[in-house]
Formats: sequence, C-alpha cells, structure tokens
Amino acid sequence: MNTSTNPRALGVLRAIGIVVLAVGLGGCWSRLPSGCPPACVAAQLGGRDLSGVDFAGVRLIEANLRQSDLTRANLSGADLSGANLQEARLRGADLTDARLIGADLTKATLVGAVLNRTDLTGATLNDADLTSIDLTRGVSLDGANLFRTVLVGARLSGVNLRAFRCWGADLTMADLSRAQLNGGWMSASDLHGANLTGADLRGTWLNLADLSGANLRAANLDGTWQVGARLTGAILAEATLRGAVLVGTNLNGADLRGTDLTGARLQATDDFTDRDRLRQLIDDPAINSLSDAEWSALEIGDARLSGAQYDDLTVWPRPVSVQEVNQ
Amino acid sequence: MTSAGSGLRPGVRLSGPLATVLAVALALLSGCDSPLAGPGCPPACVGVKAIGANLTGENLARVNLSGANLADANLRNANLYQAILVASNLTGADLVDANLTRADLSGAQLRDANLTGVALRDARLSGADLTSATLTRVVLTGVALDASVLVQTRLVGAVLQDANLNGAHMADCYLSGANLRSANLVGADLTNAIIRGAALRNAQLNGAQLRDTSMASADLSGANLEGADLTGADLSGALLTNARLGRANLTNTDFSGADLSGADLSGTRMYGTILNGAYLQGATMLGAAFVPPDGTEDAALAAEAHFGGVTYDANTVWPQGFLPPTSASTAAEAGSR
Repeated sequence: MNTSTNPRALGVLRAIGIVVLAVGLGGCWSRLPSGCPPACVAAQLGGRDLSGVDFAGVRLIEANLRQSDLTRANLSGADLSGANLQEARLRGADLTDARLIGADLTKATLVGAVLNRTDLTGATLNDADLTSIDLTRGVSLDGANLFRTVLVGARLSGVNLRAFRCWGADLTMADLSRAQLNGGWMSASDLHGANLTGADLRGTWLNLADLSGANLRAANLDGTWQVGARLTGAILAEATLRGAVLVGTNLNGADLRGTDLTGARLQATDDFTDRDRLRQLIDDPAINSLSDAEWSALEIGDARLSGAQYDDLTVWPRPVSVQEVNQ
Repeated sequence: MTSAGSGLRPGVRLSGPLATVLAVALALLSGCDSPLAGPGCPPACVGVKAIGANLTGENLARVNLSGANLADANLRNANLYQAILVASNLTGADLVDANLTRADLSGAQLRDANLTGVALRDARLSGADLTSATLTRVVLTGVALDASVLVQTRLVGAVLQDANLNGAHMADCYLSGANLRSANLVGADLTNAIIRGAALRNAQLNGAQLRDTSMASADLSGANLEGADLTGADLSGALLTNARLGRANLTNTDFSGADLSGADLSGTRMYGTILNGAYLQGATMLGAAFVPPDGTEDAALAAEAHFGGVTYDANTVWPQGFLPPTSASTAAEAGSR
C-alpha cells in the first residue's frame, strides 16, 4: 500500500519542484517580467527583445521600452501614452488604434509599421525613421514634433497637418499632394522630388529648404518664407506665391508658367544684409546655428531665375526683364 | 517491482533538496508580515513609519494612515479605497495601478511619486504636493485639487474635464493630449508648460500665465484667455475659433496655421506675433498693436507681426489704418478649407 502511494506523492512533489524551478529560471530568462501582460503599466521593458510579442489591447502607459525590439509586435489597441520608445525598433509593428499620446519616439524605427487611426497627439518623433510610412489613414499628429524625422517616400496626401512641425525633416519623394500644411515649420527640410501638387502651404517657413525638382503645381505658397531655399527645376506652374519672401532663393530652371508672384520679394534689401536682423525676423534654428562661413556660402542675395520658364500668365512682383530670366 | 523501486530511489534522495527549494519558494511567495504591523495597525496607522516598505497589492482599504511616512514605499496595486492619507509622506512612492477611490490625500507629499494608472474617483488632493509626480492618463474629474502643487507634474493624456484649477501652480507641467475641457484655470501659472494637442474647449484661462507654453494644435475653441500672458507661447495649428483673447499679451506668440475665426483679439499686444497661414475670418483686432511704440523696451525686443498668407473676410476687423498684406487672401479666394 505504502509503496503504491509514496511514488505518487513523490511524483507530485517532483512535479511541483520542477514547476517551481521552471518558474524561477523562466522568470530570469523570460522576455517579459512576471504579470506583464496584462499589467504592463510603467513596466521596465527597456532593451528587451519583444519581437513578435502580442500586446494587443495591453496598457503600456509610461512603460520604458527604450531600445527594445518590437519588430512585428502586435500593438493594436495598446495604450502606450507617455511611454519611452526612444530608439525602439517598431519595424512592421501593428499600431492600429494604438494610443501614443505624448510618447517619446526619438530615433525610433517605424519602417513598415501599420498606422491606422493611431493617436500620436503631442508625441515626439524627432530623428525617427518613418521611411515610406502611410499617414493617410486617420492618424492624429496634433502637436507632434517631427524634427529631422526621416519621411522619405512617406504618404501624406490630403492629410490635414496644419502648422506641421517637421523642421529639418527628410521628405524626399514624399507624397504631400493636397495636404494642409499652412503655417508649417518646414525650414531646412529636404523636399526634393516631393509631390506637393495642390498643397496648402500658406505662410509656411521653408527657409533653407530643398525643393529642387519638387512638383508644386497649383500649390498655394502665399506668404511663405523661402530665404536661401533651393527650387531649381521645381514645377511652380499655376502656383501662387503672393507676398512670398524669395530672397536668396534659387529658382534656376523652375517652371513658372501661370505662377502668381504678386508682391513677392525677390531682391535682397537692407533687411537681408543685416544678418542679425534676419535671424531675429526668421527665428529659425537653422539660421541661428549657421556659422559665419556657412552663412557666407548661402550667398543670400537676390533670387536667381536663370533658365526659368514663364509665360504671359506669369504675374511678376515688378517688371522683370527677359534678360534677367534668360541670362 | 525492484526496478521500479530502484527507479524511485533518486527521487527519494532528491526530496530533501526539493523540500528546501519548496520552502524557500513558499517563503518568497508568501512574503513577510505586513511592514505596517504595530499595535492596532492596521486599521489605525496614524504616523506609522514605513519608509521604502513593500506593500505591493496590500489591502489597506479604510486604513487611517494620516501623517504616515511612506516615502519610497512600493504600493503597486495596493487597495487604498477610502484610506486616510492626510499629510502623509508619499515622496517617491510607487502607486502604479493602486486603488485610491475616495481616498483623502489632502496635504500629502507626493513629490516624484508614480501614480500611473491609479483610480482616483472622488478622491481628495487638496493642498497636495505633486511636484514631478507622474499621473499619465489618470482620470481626475471630480477630484478636489484646490491649492495643490502641480509643478513639473506629468499629466499626459490625463482627464481634467471641469476640474477646478483656479490659481494652480502648474509651471513646467506636462499636459500633452490632456482633456481640460471647461476646466477652470483662471489665473493659473502654466509658465513653460507642454500642452501640445490638448483639449481646452471652453476652458477658462483668463489672467493665466502662459508664457513660453507649448500649445501646438491644442483645441482652445470658445476658451476665455482674456488678459492672459501668452508671451513666446507656441499656438501653431491651434483651434481658437470664437476664443476670447481681449487685452492678452501676444508678444512673439506663434499662431502659425491657427484657426482664429471669430476670435476676439481686441486691445492685444501683437509685437512680433506670428500669424502666418492663420484663419482670421470674423476676428476682431480692434485696438490691437502690431508695432511696438518707438523708444520702448518692446521696440528693441520685438519685431513686427507676421501676416504671411492669412485668410480673412469682410467681417474681419483690422486695427485702424492697417491694410492686409499682399499675401493675405479672402475666404472666398482661398476656397474651402
């Protein structure tokens, strides 16, 4: 009798022992701390390999996910508000309906991430990599900072991004057609080859921006500041640039057919020779951080227009001689 | 049978160390006795000293912890329902996901405390010091916050709808994405606060200190900002339809791309104000000053206002003698928004 019960009791004991050891060791080796998910609020998950982990609907508020690998992780419906996602790898992650209010995504990689109705209100995306990202599907970027963000080939067509704060961003070949960007802070950003057809850029800061080869057909650029900007070979046909400041802007080879330049400033006046005054006027870190040598290299002078195309419908701010354009 | 018996022998030998492992594991899992143990405590723990105590998941409902020293205590998931924490010291305490429903935290020290995910319904925080505390996404509706200190407090995405924050100290407060609809912030000090993309519809901010605040894309429609100091504030892309800004100081304020249609901007100081790409349909700027008078301190500091590409209409009231710049267009010209 005893011999038949003892082995069973010992077996149970051994099983419990194995479970306890497994839990103990697993706790050390697991990719996730015990209890997370579902209790991941303020969880310390920095630097972990969380690739492919299912965090759907999980509360990760104020979680530390710095430098963590969230490649292809399922974060749909997750709350990542206030989370630290600096240098996090979110390649191919699903962020559908995710909340990232005030989250810090500085230097994070979001290439191939799925953003549907993602709430990025007040988030920081400085230096983040958003190459080819699609931001057209109900993504909120209200008050988000996108300084120096890589948005190469990003899709932003028709998106309302009033006062878009993307100073120094790389928007090469991005699709910004019909986007609302008025009052934006886009100085020093790279927009070469970008599609800005019909975009609303009224009063946008575009100082030192590279718009060479960009398509700005029928775009509204009224009151923009484009001091020292490059618009070589840009298509500005049917665009309006009324009252725009184009001092030191390179418009060589630009298409200005049917462009309205009423009241635009093409010549460097005293205002623009006094650098301190200009810096004060523009209040732009790109301008403020320039060394004297870099400043001199910019040759902020009159706008350059050689080889620009124009026609009878082009409205000049003042009589421009044919010689001036075709020199 | 013999082979089975010999097979069991290692198991019998292992049972000794196994039992030790089990005992240690059980001891670790069960935890020690409550660090609050004292005569009659809990529930009567007035002035108890439990600095750095581990009270994770502890049930402290209705416990009187007035004047208790719980600095750096771990109160994660603790049940503090209706607990009395008046004038307690919770500096640096971890209160993540704790239940503070109906708790009284009046005059409590909550500096650097982590209150992320706490339930605070009908709780009292009157006169509490929440300097540098974290309250991300916490619902504070109906919470008494009078005379509380919210300097450098993290309130990202927090719900403060209808909250009474009259005269509150909220400098350097982090309020991005917060819900402050119809909140009373009359005379509050929000200097240098980060309030990006927050909802402030119909909020009362008259006489508030909003110097150098970052309020990009915030919804301030119908808000009262009369006499507020918005010097150097960032209101780019903000929604300010029908907002009242009369007599406000708007020196170097950034309204790039902001919607100011129907807003009252009369009698404001608009030295160096940036209005590029802003909507000014039906806005009133009667008696607003765009250029500082010569010889004044303002004249040396501030530039002229920027009006690049603004939209206006027949109902826009400009200051006397002001002509809209070439780049400005009427609502009809600009077409639909």
